[in-house]
Amino acid sequence: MTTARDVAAMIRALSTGDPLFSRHTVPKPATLRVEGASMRGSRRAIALATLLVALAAPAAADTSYAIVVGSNAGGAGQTDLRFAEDDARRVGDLLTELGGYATKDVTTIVAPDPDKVLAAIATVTERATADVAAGHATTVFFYYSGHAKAAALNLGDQELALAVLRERLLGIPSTLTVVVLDACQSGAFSRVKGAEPAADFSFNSKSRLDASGVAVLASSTASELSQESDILESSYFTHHLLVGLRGAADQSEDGRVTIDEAYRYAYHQTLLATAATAVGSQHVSLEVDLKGHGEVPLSYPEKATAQLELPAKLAGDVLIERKAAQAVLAELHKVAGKPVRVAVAPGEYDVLVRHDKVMERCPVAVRAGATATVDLAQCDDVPQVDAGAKGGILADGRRMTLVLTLSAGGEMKDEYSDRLADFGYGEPTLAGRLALTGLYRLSEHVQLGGALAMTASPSYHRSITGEAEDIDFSWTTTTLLAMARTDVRPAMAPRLSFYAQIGAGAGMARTTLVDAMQEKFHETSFGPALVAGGGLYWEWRWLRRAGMGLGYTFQFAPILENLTGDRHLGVGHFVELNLGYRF
Amino acid sequence: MKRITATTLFLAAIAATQLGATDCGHIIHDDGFDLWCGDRLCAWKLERGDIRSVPTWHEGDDGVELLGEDTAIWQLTGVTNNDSPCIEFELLADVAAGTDVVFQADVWGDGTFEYEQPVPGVRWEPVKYIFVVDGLYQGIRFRIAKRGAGHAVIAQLDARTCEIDPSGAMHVAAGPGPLGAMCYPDGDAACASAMCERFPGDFSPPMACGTCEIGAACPNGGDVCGLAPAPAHTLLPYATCLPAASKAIGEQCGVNDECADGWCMFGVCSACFDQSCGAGVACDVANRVEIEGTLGQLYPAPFVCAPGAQAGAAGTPCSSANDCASGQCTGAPRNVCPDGRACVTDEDCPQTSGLDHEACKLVGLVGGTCQ
Repeated sequence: MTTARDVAAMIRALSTGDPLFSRHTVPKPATLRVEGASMRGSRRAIALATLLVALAAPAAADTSYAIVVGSNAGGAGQTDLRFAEDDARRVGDLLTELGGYATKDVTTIVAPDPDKVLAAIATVTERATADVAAGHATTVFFYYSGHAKAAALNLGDQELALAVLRERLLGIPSTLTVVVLDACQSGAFSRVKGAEPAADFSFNSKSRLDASGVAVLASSTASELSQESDILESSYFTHHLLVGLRGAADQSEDGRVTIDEAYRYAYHQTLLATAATAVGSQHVSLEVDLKGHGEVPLSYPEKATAQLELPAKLAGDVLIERKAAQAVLAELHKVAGKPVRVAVAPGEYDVLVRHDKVMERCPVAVRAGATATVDLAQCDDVPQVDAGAKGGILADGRRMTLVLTLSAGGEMKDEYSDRLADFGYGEPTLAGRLALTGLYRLSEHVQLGGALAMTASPSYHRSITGEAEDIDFSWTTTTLLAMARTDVRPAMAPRLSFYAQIGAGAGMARTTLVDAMQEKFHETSFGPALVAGGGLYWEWRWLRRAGMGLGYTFQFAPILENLTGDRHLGVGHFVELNLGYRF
Repeated sequence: MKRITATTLFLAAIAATQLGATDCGHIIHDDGFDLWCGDRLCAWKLERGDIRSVPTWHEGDDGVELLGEDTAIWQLTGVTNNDSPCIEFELLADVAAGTDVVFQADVWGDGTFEYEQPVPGVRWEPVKYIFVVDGLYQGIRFRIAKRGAGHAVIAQLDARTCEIDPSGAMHVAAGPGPLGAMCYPDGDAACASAMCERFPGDFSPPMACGTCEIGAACPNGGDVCGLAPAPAHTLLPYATCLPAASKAIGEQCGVNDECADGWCMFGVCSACFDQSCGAGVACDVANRVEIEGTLGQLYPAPFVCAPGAQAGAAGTPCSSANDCASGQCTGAPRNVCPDGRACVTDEDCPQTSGLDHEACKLVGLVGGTCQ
């Protein structure tokens, strides 16, 4: 396992040691640690510096160039990453969508080699040089997601020395350079990102960077690992950075997301997301030298064609999923009090909100040019997988399920029914079965409980020759069963489950014979009972936690016995309709 | 002519009741021994010995246990050759090994058992039998008899007609018809008495085996060849010699001479005929009791003068109290079947399809006289 200690070293290598350079490593709500000092004082310093530089700030940059690089390929001893290149594409897309970057000015490089990266930087350098000559200010955004070692980025089996990268980036005559590093290295569990420590790695050269405005945002601190998320299909850091840039980080609600806002947002969300992972917490770090640059906006969500607003009172872990793509657009932790707007493409979305032990799904339709607010009244409960528990228990806190089963079927012939036929009782019709089952979910796939079932036999009739009246015979079998059920839910339809179940217990059979004089006779007997079956079950979207299903039950209940010693095996096959409620 | 027409209708009604009686092919009433009238079976006759109701496979489904060492029960059914010559039956019994139990069939119900099979020692195992009756027959008496000690419970005796004469089945001869047996179309040859008689009138078919020729002289000078009561509900009234003018008003008759008042109207001895009551006084049927299930058809009843007019003087024949000026008509209750035969219960009346018996009803009085 490799730490990301050298990510920080790399950051330092790409940053400046200017006294106003602020290293935001742990921006806690009350205090931020800044080079060992209290953040309160540091904030005041930043604010003051920001005010001063704002007054003296040059004109806003006229041109913005971006180079985004993603490399899934690992080097020797490294496992390929899964989402680094996708992350790069998403970053590039967002910059053009919300960052004010022209498409032609965003260079996205995936599966790169060092020459391609350096060539892209050279091109930007040339263009920036021309811009400067023309009196225009420039901003350069460099993003890298992939493996890294202490001294180099790993681009597959090739390396790009950080010294070279730093030299080339600092060589761009830009007004502002923003460097975002989501460096990674393979990990056995979750594809840890990072850079191997190297004792001789020391690029923290103030003299080389103090002439420029440089901000370096890194995915983790020096002592931590960076991680990818299978669920998010992204690295935690890049995902939350992008969510923040889409508007979730806009604390000032001015329609822009500054680098400071993006950092704070990415810091908190990444920390929350990684707190419970096996790898451990991941703290985003920011080192800036923005003297003379004031607040630096990275994105302008207000310019988005459509926005999705999470209302002020919504609180909990929020997952925004685009229905058409079935892709997670954003995952964030929302606190009550202020609305949060996220720039999104027009379309249909599901907003999943988890709070306490309940997960709700809120459908939202976002139209172009409008802001769609999540209507909490339209949310309904959904089964939720508790990722924090081994086995993935359905953990919306409602583990009990009551199922009412209505069945129809028939029982197989045996010596008992043959005896009835000998005595002139006609062929029966369908039998009915009614069952009430209570199940407690032990794990994602296992439920245990009990069932009280009553099977009503078909009615047997024997006519009395020469008389209008018949002799009617029937029985009911009441069984008390211990039940075990296993079920699975297809990923494509989480409300649908397929189940199989077995049950064993004891039962009581009670016969009723109405003779020709309309006099009733009853007999009672006891015996064991077994059931087995399976089916499918569907929880209704429009009726919370209620569901219905179809199934089949095989019954074996050798309970009934007649005076001649014949035992009815009670072997029956039933098709059933299930109505259930989970609580 | 009126008399002839009435007799014709009466006898046609009799014939109609003898066309066979089954319940969708089932012959025996209460084949499961389910109907108990107290400690006796309702639909079965106890010939001798004793019986009791005992549970079979279920407490509520009884069979009949043949008690003692000489017990027999029987039932006379109305099945005829018109239903089928083939009879099959299934017996479900619990008979201890060694117990002598027999199943018997008496064609015609005349006391001669043409078919007999032992019931084996079985424990609720069905036993099936089949036989074919050759010749004309009306009614079969089924009997189950136990001789000697032993346990014997009968749960089912389901007899039914067969559609096809099966090969290998035992054939039994029905034999010539007893008195009261319908002898059409074979005539005298079908009768043990060699007399297939028909009563006066242009009715058809000819009727029952009898002992005398209607209209012919009887051996005893004071006798007349009249109508004898049906020997069983499966048979018909038949011609036999009986004392002339021996039947009171309201009794079943075949000819005038057997009635005390000299008139046999519609098979019932009556007090008048046509204009015999005198000018302005109607001779009409005394009691109008409709036969259930018919369109106004009446139970046979005597004809009296001015019925219901409360005009009859003392000593005048009557059938009911309102026939008499005094409002009093003395006589015996007159219970009759729809075919006019005297009865005590429905079982004395012919069976219809469904094994029901026609209803025995009180229709006036027999031998009534105004007070």
